[in-house]
Amino acid sequence: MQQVVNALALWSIYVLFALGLSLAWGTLNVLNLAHGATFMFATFSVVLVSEHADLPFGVLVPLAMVFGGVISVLLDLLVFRPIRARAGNSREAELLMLIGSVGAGSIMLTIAQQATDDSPFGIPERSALHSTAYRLAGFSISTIQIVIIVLGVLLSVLLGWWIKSSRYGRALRAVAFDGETSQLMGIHPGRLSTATMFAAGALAGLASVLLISHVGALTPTSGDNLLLKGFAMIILGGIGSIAGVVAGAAVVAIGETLVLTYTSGAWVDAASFAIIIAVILIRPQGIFVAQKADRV
Amino acid sequence: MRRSGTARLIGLASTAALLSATIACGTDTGSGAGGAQGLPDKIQLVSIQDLSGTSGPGGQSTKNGMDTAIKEINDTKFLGGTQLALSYEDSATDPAKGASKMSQAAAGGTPLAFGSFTSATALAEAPIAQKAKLPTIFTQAGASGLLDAGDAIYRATPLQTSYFNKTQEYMQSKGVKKASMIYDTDVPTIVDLSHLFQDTASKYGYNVVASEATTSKQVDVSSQISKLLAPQPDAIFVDVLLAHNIQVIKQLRQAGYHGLIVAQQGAGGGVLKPLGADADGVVLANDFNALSADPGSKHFTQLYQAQFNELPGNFAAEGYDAVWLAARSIKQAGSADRAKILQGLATVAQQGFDGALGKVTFQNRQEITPGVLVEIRGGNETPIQSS
Repeated sequence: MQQVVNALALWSIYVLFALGLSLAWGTLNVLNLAHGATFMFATFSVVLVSEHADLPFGVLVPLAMVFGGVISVLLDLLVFRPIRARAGNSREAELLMLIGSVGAGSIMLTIAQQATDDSPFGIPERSALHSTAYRLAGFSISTIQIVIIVLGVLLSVLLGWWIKSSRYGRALRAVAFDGETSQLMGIHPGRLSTATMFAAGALAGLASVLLISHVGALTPTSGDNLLLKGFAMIILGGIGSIAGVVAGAAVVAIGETLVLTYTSGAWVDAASFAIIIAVILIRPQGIFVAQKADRV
Repeated sequence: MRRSGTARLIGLASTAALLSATIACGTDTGSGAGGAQGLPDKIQLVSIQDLSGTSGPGGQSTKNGMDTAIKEINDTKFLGGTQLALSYEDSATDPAKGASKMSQAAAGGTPLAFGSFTSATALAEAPIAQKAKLPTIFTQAGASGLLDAGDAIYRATPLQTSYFNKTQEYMQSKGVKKASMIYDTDVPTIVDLSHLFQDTASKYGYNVVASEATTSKQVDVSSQISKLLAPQPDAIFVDVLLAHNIQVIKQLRQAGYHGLIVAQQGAGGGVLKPLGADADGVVLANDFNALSADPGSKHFTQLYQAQFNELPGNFAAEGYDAVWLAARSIKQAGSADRAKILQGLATVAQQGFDGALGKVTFQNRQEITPGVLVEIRGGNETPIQSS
């Protein structure tokens, strides 16, 4: 039971991180390699602010989401949109945006490294969430784990509903399916792109502020360490599918927890990617796949 | 004919002048007007340090200690009129980068180098330095095999295994019978220590009831912690790399563990500051403590505080002693020649000296110092005596 709690908390962090990545990739065709740096920089910014202002944890969480959202929107406005406007075709645009995102991520990483001397950073004690461990029926769960799991579940459900049922969600799916036609139908791709990138960044900011509260400190490279797993979860679950991301994150989190429970921690990464490779070989389109129609 | 004779004289005089000028503009190994005992006016050393990456904080701290030593050596004119200069190259906790930087240093004119902090990077650099017979002093980098590279390689950090017994004696004094351990598998020094902790358990009266592996990049260690806590240990040995200590100890406290945590040197030097009160009570053995009563430690601490306005940690102290080892070797050699400095190193190592780490001696090019046990409380590391 204890390991179930651990797996759930791990899944929540993974899913919050990967949902943001999936939103940009699955709906806007933006392979955003700066997502890891955004994740880190959002909380780094929060730590900087909290070192100078006495803010409670309840304020730091939305602040991290705002910082993450703003960083992503700036990325879209300053890097992705100019590239899309200048690229000859969509393939070229995708490649150039990929490279652009690597550059943007490096800039954020360097700034954080210089500011911290590449040292770990954490939320000051006065602003941190004071976590208590609760013992229930043979397992233990901390306050922060409860917060992480609840938010992970809530946001996965909300985002899934929003994409499927809301007007904005339908517009987003339309743009992902056929950008040109959806523009003719009155959908403003620029505004939608901004909103989507803000949401993606906000999710990254939320994931990182929860993670830093759980583990005590992050380093400037913490986000990059998650990036590869994030992409793997999206591919595993099916590109463009929110349910797929949820499932992909679950496969990775459960797989890692099982490995940790029954073997040594040294095998975690190897086992995670072995599981991913196995699923992809069996079902290359991913566990869930966004339905597409082909013109006949 | 007379004109020709005069011209010949002028030519001879010019040649003589040119020759003198060439000799005067010779290499650094030539005699300088201000140098002591045949030392040049300036000796440029190279320090390849992990100034960024996972070991960045430790590398930066080492650099600060080295800078303190350089300033003191020059201010006190330890080498007479010779100025000792130190330039830094960042190996970025990357063995490939470290190897590249060491190749450049070996091919350049530096008579002595300082090598990187982390074992993997140091192991990549040492053979390159040895091949060029470049006397190279490493700090930290405790992996076995480093000194096997050859006689040009020195380690100016005592092995943790040589004073880890202080921690184990402390555990014994506190009546620890059951101990759990978590360790990073991707750091050779840390793995060595984990073996020592396990292999000598019975000598200090405890059993290792749980042993969990992790890697320095694994941030969430909840699963391992659950397994560590299951047998209800009296103490937990956190044997992980630098920043990883914060994450492991934080999650131990979050899981409700408030018992004894013993760590190793990597948790010292202020690394646990982000933990705040969660770090209180953590005990570790270190080779240096700023509050130690040792005269050499106190002297270094005063100098460091004056320069950096903060208390030094062990990495800085090791860097300081490493530079002083180099300076003493150069003075002993009376030359900036690599081969002579190597001989000087051997002599100084045999004699020993009083440094920031206390009485510094060497055995087979491996530094030995007494060590000190500390407890972290209120963000400070206070020396304690194991009873």
